[in-house]
Amino acid sequence: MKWFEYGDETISDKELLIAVPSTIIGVGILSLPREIAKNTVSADGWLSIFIVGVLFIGFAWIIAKLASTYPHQSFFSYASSLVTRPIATVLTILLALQGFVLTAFVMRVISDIAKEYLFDQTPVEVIALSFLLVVVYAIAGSRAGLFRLNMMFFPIIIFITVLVGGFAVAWFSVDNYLPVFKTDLSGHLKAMQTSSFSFTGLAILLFYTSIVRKPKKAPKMAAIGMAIVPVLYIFIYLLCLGVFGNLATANLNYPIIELAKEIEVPGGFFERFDSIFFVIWIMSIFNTTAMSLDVTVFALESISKLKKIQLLYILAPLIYLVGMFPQDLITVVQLGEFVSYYGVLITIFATVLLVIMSVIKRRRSNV
Amino acid sequence: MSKKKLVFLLYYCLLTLVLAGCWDRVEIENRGFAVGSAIDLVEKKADGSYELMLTSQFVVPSGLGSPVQGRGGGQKAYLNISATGESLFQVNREMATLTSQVPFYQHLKILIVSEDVVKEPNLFGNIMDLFIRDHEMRRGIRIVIAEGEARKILDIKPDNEKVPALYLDSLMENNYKNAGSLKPVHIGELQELLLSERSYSIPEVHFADKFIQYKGAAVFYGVTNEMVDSLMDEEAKGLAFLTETSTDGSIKVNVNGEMVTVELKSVDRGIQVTPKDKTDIDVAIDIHVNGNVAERFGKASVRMDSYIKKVEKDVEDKIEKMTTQTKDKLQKELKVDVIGVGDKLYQKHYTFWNTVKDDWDKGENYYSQSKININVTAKVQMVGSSDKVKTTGDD
Repeated sequence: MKWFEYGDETISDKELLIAVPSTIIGVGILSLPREIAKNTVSADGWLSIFIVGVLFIGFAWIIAKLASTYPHQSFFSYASSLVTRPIATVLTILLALQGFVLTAFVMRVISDIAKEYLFDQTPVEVIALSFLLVVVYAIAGSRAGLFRLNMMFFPIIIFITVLVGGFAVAWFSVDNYLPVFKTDLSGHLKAMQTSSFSFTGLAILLFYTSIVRKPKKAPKMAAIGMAIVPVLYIFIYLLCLGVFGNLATANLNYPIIELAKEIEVPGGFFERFDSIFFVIWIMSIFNTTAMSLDVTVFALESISKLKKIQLLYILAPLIYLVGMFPQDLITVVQLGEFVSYYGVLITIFATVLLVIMSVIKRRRSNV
Repeated sequence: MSKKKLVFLLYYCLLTLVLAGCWDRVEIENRGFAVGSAIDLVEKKADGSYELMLTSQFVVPSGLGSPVQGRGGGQKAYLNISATGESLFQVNREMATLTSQVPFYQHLKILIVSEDVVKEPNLFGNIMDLFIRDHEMRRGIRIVIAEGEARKILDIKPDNEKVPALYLDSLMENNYKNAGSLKPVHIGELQELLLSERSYSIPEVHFADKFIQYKGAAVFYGVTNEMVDSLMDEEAKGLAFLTETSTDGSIKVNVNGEMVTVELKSVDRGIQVTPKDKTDIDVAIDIHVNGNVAERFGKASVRMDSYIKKVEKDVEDKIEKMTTQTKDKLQKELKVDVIGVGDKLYQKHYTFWNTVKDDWDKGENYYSQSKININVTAKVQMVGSSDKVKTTGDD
């Protein structure tokens, strides 16, 4: 069998920009409006998303800055130079693990939702398997090709979200936004905590910055890419709130899917808009899983002697097993909490550690 | 062929099974498209549970016929199936055994609930759960309350439409747009209402021989979700002025003993709440209507400013009378906050609302003690294409 080879496995800075929101936007936003509405009064939750968003934009910039200080070096090589080889190996494995569990979790969630809304009889296992196979197929090819796929899907995802917003205007009530700023601090803190879970996936910047052609631009591009995420989240959140009001949003499992279900295209010839929305949202979830699995493979490639395809053959069944392990909804939610906590903490930990070491190193070399 | 290639070939063949994705396949001929459902109360059992009857209306496509074919050979275009039980979901499954088709609810348009069902405390909220929870149900399903047996409504035979449920659906839409009826309530909105414990109203239909009359309003008490009363005619119209943002109805007044009908073009409603004390809440409802003179008996010139002023004054008085009557009934007699004063308090006076919300239209009932004033302003904008149609006559 012959593979089509791209000339070089590098990506442009714009591709990095799109990769960030492509990876982060996925299943989190489906339930985010509910989690935030639960803890805040009326539509105050946008403030929580905004604050968390700004923090994460800064965070994205720092990660990309760190990685681009060592242009065209892989994570493992610059981490080794900063914190010695064994620690760098451990860090790589820990970060690879976060991509691994994230893929497993997202695969499970999307299969559950697809079963709930689309396939009544099909077993979850079969849906998950076919989804995973497509993801594995995508990763088996070119890495740069994966980024191009992101570039292609992302505008479609934005388009469908805006379209849902446009059709939802008929159901919209501004009264749902009143009163404003009545949430107490603890409510905001809780909302911020839950919304930060929808921002997992920044770890890709630690790895992919090395294959960007112009690393100097990377921090700016990462920050801009990151900025798209809270903007889209706030848009969806305010949309759900405006249509459903706070109470109903807090009681819907997936407010944005319900929103797509509620709207009717004028003219009555097309009643089931939710199916289109759902199909397109699966593209976004495909992006998330593909990127997080690819980053896992990429990370492990740097520390092991195995080839990409071999790694993929080892990882894919494991991911499937981990994803299928939870027996019910409660365990899936617990897995999700673990994935989010772990993802955010390990990324912060690795970044902070490396930034500190890098600052110390530079001081020493200056002296 | 090498062994490896053979394995691959087998593998690919197996994969195509997954790709076809026909696990959930139901041929469209086998789907029974339900367009309307009706819920009736069969009996209240001694242990407090309820025996319900669910009637669903399925479309029979061959009965619809195409425009070329004419009336489709006289076959009925719908099929009503009823089943009884305690859980509506089980009833629905039972229904599937009675028909050759798989009931399919994604195109359900209308849900008719009998008055007997909603007059039982808490029952209404409970049975709505299925329609909100089930992923097959869309949030745009319209709900109406029926006086008497709900399933009879699914059996009326209108002359111009073949499927009764679709007839009712378009009737509601049209009446809302043209005749100043109450806006149809969707199941999505109902979920918000059920969750908020706010009192509300749902349009009510009456069965009249061959037709359905759609003009009343069933008033619900939010805490128990039970229907407390129904508003008819004038009262329902008053409610429309108090709760709807746009009412495109008409209003008939007598000016100098001559009848004038004003067609309403726009209705703006604003509620101002000034809470001074728990027992001293001032509520000012401002209703502003714009309208045109649509029909007039008599011969006075409509181009005279003084005449128009008089029409406006009379329209104001009439609306004020209607709305005050409705308000008095809702506030003093039924003591349910359908108008949405509580909403305004929540939106504009959040801290104050938190102190009264537990005793709003329950307990101490501060709502019924509040002072509600209605102020109506009317403006006649156009008088039509002619001044008058006769110059001599009565006086």
